[in-house]
Amino acid sequence: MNISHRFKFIYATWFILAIFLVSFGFGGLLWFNYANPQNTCATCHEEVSHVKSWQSSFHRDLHCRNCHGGSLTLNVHALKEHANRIVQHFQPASAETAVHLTEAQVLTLQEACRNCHPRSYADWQSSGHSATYQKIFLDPRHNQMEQMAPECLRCHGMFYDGHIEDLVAPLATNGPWALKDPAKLNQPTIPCLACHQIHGTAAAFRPVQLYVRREKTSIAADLLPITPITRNGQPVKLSHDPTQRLCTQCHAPNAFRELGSQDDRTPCGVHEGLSCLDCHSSHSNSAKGSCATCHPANSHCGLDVEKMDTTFFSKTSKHNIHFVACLDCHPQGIPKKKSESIPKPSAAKAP
Amino acid sequence: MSLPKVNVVIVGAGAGGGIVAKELATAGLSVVLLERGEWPRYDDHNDDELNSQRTPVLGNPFGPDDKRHRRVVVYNNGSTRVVLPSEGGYNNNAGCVGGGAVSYGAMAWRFMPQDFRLRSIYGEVKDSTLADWPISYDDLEPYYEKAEYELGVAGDYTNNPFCGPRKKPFPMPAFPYNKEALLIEKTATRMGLHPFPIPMLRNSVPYNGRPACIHMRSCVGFACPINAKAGSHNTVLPIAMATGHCEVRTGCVASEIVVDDRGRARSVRYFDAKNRGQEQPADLVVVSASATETARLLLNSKSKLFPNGAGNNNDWVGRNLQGHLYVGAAGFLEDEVYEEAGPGATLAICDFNHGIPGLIGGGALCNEFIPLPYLFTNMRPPGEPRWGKAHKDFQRRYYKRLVRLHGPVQEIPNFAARVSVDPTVKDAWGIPVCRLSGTRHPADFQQGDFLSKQAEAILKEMGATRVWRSGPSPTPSLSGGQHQAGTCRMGDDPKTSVTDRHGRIHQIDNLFVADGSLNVSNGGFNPALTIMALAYWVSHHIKAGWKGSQLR
Amino acid sequence: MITPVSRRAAMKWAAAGTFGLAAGIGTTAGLARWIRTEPAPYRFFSEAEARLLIPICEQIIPRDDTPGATDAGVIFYIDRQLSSVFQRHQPTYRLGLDAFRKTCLQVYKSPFEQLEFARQTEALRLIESNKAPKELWGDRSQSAFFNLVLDHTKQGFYGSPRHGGNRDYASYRMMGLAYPNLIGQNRYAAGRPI
Repeated sequence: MNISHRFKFIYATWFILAIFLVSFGFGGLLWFNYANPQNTCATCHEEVSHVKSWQSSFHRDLHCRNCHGGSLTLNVHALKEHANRIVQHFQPASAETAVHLTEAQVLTLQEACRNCHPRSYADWQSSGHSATYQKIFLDPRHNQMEQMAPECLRCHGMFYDGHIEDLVAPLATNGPWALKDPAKLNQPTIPCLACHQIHGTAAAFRPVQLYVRREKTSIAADLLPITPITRNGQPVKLSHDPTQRLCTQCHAPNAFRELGSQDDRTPCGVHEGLSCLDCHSSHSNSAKGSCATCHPANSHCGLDVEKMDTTFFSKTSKHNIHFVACLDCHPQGIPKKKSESIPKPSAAKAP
Repeated sequence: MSLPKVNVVIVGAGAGGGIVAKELATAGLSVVLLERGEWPRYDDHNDDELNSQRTPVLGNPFGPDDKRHRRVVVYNNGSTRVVLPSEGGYNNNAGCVGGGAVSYGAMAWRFMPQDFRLRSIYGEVKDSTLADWPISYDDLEPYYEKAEYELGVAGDYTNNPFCGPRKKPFPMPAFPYNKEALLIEKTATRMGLHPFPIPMLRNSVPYNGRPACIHMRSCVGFACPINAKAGSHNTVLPIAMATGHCEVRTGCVASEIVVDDRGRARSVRYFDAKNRGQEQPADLVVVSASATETARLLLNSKSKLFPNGAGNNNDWVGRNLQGHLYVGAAGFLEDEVYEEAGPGATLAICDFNHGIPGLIGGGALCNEFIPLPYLFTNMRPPGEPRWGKAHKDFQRRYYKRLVRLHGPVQEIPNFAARVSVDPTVKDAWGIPVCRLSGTRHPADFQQGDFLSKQAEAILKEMGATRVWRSGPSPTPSLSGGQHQAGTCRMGDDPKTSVTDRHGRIHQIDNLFVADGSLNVSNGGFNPALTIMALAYWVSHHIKAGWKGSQLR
Repeated sequence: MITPVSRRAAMKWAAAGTFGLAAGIGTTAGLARWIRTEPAPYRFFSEAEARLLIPICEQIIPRDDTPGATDAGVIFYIDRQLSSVFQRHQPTYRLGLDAFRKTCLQVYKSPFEQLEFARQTEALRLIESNKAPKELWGDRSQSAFFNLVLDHTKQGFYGSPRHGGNRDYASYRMMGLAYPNLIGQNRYAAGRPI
């Protein structure tokens, strides 16, 4: 074999190897991108339960890649994470750790939500629940009054990857305060996944699930505890709507479960027993126009309910819609309903 | 390799070390604080019962870790065992900035004036090293007050006739009684006792920039999610660090204090967070690493003048290890008393602390912290089935009906209960580990028996059923627990003590101790506030000595 | 000047390329086929060991009108801890389960999992009180093995679900404990919330 032949041989070997690697690698990526997740993602311990719950969910007709991105669009971070998992798998000392989405992944995923549910997304954007890290953590009025603590992240920034120390400084009541990572400024603190678990099963329709930061998992609203709320020691009647339990998790009373304490908004008085969602729409949280669903334009006393000052901001307001009671407007006793003063047709017929 | 010299190096950033760091840094001294653990992070463990510092089944949430740390315990029958930090025998010590105060129950007791004069009151006790403190309650009172105000204590002693005199009231109002405590209060008052609210190192109202308690049911054993519980990590250390004179080095395990041939501490050798050997020279050294680890460090610091360890020429370092024998009673009420609002312990009875004929000392009784479900599986009257349907029925029926009264018994110091260093077992850095041996003094069992009977009587009077005593076990047991103290006793006579009345090791002018090791006796109370007060006391005298230039 | 590639050479390169491509795709397909197995449910236990341990845990916390150890997934808690923080207990489980299996075969002439519930209870009482045939256990303590399983079962049942057991907070529900615990935000100013 002369020199040129030897070179040709080496070239050919490298050529075949390169083609092999490219086709093998690309084939693998193609496989992971398009094959049934049962045969790809679910071959890892940590993914089995996720794939199973997805298979019985309302989103089962979508493929993993539709929301999470497929292997053909994988970014470096995801590749690294998968590689780490494989390494970890072969280290006997490591406990299997559950798969969690990073906050960046949660926010990327949110774009997929938006594509199919643009209306709900827009509503959420218009609501207080789309508050950004800047709005929540750099509010001097708040920060002067109360030291920020890990517990803030339970409701504000439940997907935040680090600790409160990593997010904002200083953790003291005298500022000025700044976010350590300016990229966080305009990120939302309560994204879609805070209240929704996309894999929620269709069998027991559970679109509303609270993400519990402590456990790094979502709990369906109907599995959340019912919090007994009391007013002067007496239990307040609560709505049976499980969604309200989710609201209560953040809009919560104090440890003694007193009505109206801390951030509790449980209605009592004339509206006792109503669910939050009877008046507030789920994504925009707006209660505009909700009065009319129950009330005629004028109340029993002839007042236009739509024009009453029903703000909840003042707990002493007589018309605070969460607490207003009959006696607030009728301290002398409740007048008979107008309809009761008119003899009913059936009563007229009676002997 | 030697690092640039500083004024002070402090070993251990717990209740004692944090305070010393702040006192000296604000006085203008340059301070390096070495801590074997890390800054505590609530989020890493939050309210997980299996990772609680009190039930560390899956490892200690706030250190030390099982991989690198060890201790050896010697049982009564002479057998020895190597214990991991998450196992009971290790004594529940934490290893993080803030120390045990990150996850404690935060009871803020001052010792009683009698606790400082046990020998004068009770005379000589056989097989005991019982002694008076070199300082009195009145000496320490201003420092108790300082601790209460700088860290923040909520309390009310209106109904406590047994406490020593105080110059100022508590900085915060007391916590209200919970349901259980209200019932106990009624009964105890009827029995002629004097129940009062437990003073707590926990904010009952916003204080010093930290918010008020939100009443988690998971409190003792856990960090506070809002920093309502005070420790050095969230009170004094931030102040120390803000001075710019105090550097906290975490992940640093001290191995030895270098004492030169003239009998002065020159530097501290340690392994840094990357396990590299380092040496930090300083004008003076303060050890505040808890009663066991302080003793271990001194014993491991051998030099020409101190061949048996720093300050140990009379074999007193590591001796007189005390903790608290916890005794009491538990029972069940007809109606549920459980409340979601924690943490549970709110009421104390101090009638059985001193003045009981035939007893030395005594102890306080308190209602208890809410146990979480796994811990509750171990709370059973004798003879109750441990498993099967009966177990489930018990959990369901009795969890919310549990009432408990428990308390720490004043332990009588004895010379044989001790910390030494094990001749063979070493930790991950090759440093010989602690070896705990000896047993409690027999008098402790008499006291424990007495105190648990009192608790039983109160619960029975309340109408509790199936009341059982958790009294002292009849077999002699090793002292210690997270209330460990006494291993570097302070005293005026160098032959029978390790440090002088200011916490300075006899014969080593620039080596100080500032933690529970100094306690001559350990009171019938949780010792946290006393450790803090002693740290202020020691700091005060270091500052005075520094000004007079005796220390440089 | 461009050297014209001969037809013959081009054919050679194409053949080599096709070979590489075929090998690559073939390997991918082969790997994919091989990978396509559902992972075993346990990291430490064999299927047979799990079949034996599950009813043991169920005996310790049986199902009645509320879920028992099996429903709560206690086996997954134990399995996961044994392959991580409880590695030191691995021999106790491996040898203990084997000895217990043999004990049941010898004393009751039947595998444990096929015994009636009351018989199973009896079998566990046997080892709880160290009364199983000594020759099957050697110098290993029967009660120590039982106590370890008892303790781990309680941990798996009452501990946080994040460790593999207590599925859907079964034990918290059973005891009427709310989870997640509700915590109101501190109100720092009376009146208007911010």
